[in-house]
Amino acid sequence: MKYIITLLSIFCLNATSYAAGPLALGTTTTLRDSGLLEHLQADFYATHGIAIRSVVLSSGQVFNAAKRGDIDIALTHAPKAEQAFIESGMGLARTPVFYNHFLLVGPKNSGLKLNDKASLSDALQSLHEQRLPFISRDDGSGTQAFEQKLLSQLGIEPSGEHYIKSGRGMGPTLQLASQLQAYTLCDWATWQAYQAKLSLELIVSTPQAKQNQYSLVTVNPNTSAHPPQASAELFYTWLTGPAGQAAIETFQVNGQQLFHAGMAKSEN
Amino acid sequence: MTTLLPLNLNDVSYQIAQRKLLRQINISFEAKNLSVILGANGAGKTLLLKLCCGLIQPSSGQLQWAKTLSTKRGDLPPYTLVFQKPVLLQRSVLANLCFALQSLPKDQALPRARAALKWADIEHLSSRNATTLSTGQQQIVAIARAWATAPEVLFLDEPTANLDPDATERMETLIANLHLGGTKIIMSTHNLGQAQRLADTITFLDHGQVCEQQSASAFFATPKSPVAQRFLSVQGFMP
Amino acid sequence: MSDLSQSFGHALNLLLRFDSNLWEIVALSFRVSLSAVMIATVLGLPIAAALAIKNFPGHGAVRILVDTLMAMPPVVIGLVVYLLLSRAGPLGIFGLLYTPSAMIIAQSLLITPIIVALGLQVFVPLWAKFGDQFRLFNTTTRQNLFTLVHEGRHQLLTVWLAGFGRAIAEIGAVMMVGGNIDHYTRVMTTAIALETSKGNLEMAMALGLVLMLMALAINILAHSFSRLQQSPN
Repeated sequence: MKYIITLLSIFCLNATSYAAGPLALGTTTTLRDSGLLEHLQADFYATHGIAIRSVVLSSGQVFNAAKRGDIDIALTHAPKAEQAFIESGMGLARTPVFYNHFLLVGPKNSGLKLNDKASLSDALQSLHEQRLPFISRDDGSGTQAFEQKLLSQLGIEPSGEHYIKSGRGMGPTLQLASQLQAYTLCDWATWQAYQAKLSLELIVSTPQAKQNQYSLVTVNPNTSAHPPQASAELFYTWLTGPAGQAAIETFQVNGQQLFHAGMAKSEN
Repeated sequence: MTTLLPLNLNDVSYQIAQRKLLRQINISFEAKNLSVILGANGAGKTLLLKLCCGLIQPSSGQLQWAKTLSTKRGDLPPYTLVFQKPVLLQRSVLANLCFALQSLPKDQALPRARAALKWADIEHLSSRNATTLSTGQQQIVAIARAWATAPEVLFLDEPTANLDPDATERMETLIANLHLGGTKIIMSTHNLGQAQRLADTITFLDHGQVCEQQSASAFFATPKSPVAQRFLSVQGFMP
Repeated sequence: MSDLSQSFGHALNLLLRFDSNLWEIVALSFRVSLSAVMIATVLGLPIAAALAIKNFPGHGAVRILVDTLMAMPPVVIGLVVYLLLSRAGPLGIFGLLYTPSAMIIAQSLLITPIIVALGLQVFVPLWAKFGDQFRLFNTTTRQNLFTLVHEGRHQLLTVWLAGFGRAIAEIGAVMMVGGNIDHYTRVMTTAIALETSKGNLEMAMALGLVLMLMALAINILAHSFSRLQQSPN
């Protein structure tokens, strides 16, 4: 008995339990690596005095964690997965909150010849035709979902040595591409944060395409293993409202705006 | 007062994997006299002592004390064994003695431990780390520790085999002293001089067999078995 | 080479400036791993001593199990603890996932087998030496257990350090069950992984050096303490 008390006391003295209050936000690497997350957390804390704990996972993992009741609200960029989550009844609402666009980056002095108006699709097609090395995230992320969408529209089922699967987040994948002098799809924000450290350059960038939509997805309290905290709703109201939207618009890195508030008109 | 003795061994054998290390031992240890188990190295003396102490179980035969032993776990045992190589804990000499007396209340254990140090005349070593002492000093601590538990029977396994003459002499004095105090001593040795100095009765062991058991004076005058005769004559003890 | 020397300078600078972010991370690493190694010790040493002292049915099987668990990769432990502590898991009601507590639990599970297996190596020869003597003294199992621990305390320190080293150097389990949340569950190893993934190799290396310096300090402390204890009188 004494023994068990000893064990428990060591544990309790050194552990802190999950106190109600901090909001568990499930989100993706691109938002952390660009610095937006910290910016939003600080703003939200300043307004409402509620701390946010961001659990950074790939979009696929975020919804898995949400199903298990381990996060209170999700901020992701994988429209298909978000829709599926809502259709399964686990998610309550999905609101697009901000966006930017995807780019293709690759080695300097690229061997890929494209005309000036080439889209990402055109570029991917040429890449695969010429069997140039391309790195796919392959981690269930929103970026990978976007790549899959383009490839399936093109009717390409990539395989072979030139199609490399990194299985890692955006940052490490960019570094891998830089080391291997390969091509990869990347979001605008992460590219801004990383480009100085890479020997890669922009191949295709079409800001007007606005393909990378981030959405806030709320968890259905009735179906989740653990109902989300009340502060989740507060965060939802804040980020979709004028204050949160302004916080996104004003976020800059090196004088560059990384995200645009609201919903991209091109989203389908 | 002595109720444990005599200790009778009836047809006791001990073997490990077909190797018979002790065979058909039929002896008895009586109260009062000082018993010495004599024999060359490898004769089985240590095994015989361990058997008597219950550290190992006979493969066949029985070991019978005059009274059934009913020592509860944690009680002071009625007999103990001093090993050839003293086994002491890495702590002070006094703490080593107290360790053997854990079943006594604290206010009894400490005085008794101190008395044991006084008895062995090693009070000056009281606070020394026992494992840093010389082998001779360690062995004296070991016998003092045995004395402290006030055993009715004390077994000693070659207690002076690794000791210098000084320490040997002190050990022999302490053993004799214990014997005079009424403790039954059963010790093994291969040292004939020591056997002659201390023993009342001799049990002669050779290759796991008891060759003879008789009074020390008779043994040294007229050993019955040829092995014992040779053992004595080789070492110049034959009359 | 210049990368390394730069990192070293950076590390020293961070340490000497008492960078609050860094110290927060270092403090959490130590809190989590020290707690874990203490729990593992309290759990593991009695098991090790019991395995050394007692010969019970299934004894061999337990030892094989312990040796196998010692080879368990941290991520697997992390996964098991994740599934246990997740809100949907059997211990979900405590809400421990993504907290330092979860990291302590995972690391405790990770190093308990190490403490048992290495502790066994300390206790087996000790029991061979003292076993008979203890039986003659008729001491209780509890007394024997404490005495063995006391006798083996210097070697057990090494065992303990091995456990601590494994805990503080581990990343797979803490990443999975802690979530690497800034200012909350970010420890040295997860911070290093994060900085590496961000391409801040210099900062990552600096953190690595801090981790090594801390380990060095702990080892020096432990060994000098042990030497102090060991010197006669």
